[in-house]
Amino acid sequence: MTVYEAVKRPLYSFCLRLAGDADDAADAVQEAFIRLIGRAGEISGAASVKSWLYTTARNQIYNEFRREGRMQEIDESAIEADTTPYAEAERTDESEFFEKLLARLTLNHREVLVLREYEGYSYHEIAEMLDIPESTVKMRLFKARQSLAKMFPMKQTR
Amino acid sequence: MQCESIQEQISMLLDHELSVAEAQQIFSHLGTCAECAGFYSASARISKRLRRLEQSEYPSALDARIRKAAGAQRTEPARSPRYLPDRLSAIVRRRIVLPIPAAVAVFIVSLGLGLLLVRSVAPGFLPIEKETKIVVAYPPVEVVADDETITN
Repeated sequence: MTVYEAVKRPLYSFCLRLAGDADDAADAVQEAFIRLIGRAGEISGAASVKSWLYTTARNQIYNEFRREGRMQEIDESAIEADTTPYAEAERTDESEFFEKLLARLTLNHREVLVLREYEGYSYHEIAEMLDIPESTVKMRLFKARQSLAKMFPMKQTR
Repeated sequence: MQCESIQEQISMLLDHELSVAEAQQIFSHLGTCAECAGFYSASARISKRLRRLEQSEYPSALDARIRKAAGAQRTEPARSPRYLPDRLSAIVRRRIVLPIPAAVAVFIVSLGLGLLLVRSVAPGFLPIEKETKIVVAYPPVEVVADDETITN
């Protein structure tokens, strides 16, 4: 199996969960693979290639969000007051409910959570991919979980 | 404040980043703190459900799109060396040899500039022509008369 075949699906999944939009996700995946072709020979090892692809696709999504002014910061007081996800849980399936919860996180918090929970990357690997200290990875994961816990009342956790 | 720190550790516990001893400390705290116990319960359930979510469906048209874009990129002329602007790299590739007259002209100009520099830094090193002062003098003109001398 080629790196392309092995990585394309999880990479697309990651991009979709990060961007929350199928077109943005497809653009990011395409950009990452095309740039990889341009750098053929400079990156060696399947693990490095995979990590490089994730980083490039993620940067592409960030650039797109910045260009369109979509780098929102979630107002935590609004999360506490807004019970929409709680109400939605009763009428949507579980996957959709959790995708919506994720979409309510900031991009910074969402990406570390997706890399950790879906992809199973370690703190060290995430830190390298995002070019941030491990302590920041740790803190962002905590903040992401804190935000999710506020959106996810205990009576819904049964 | 203490609960904030404990909840940060609960997040690490969910990622299996704590030692057994550290985990035991957290669990003993959970028995006495409803707030942290609530955070642990909610976060553990959320993590479990997030990990169960399936991968999104991969769009079949994306393969063709990437192949097409990759093909278009391969047909573009290669740039070498990549980090230099095109015009500069073209000059480097052609290895321009300066024509001899140009080289001679550069040598002469450099020599002149060098001499000027030496002269300004060490004036005594090279002979400098003495300054010639042009003095307009009006020596007394003696007008000799027949019987007297008049000095002007």
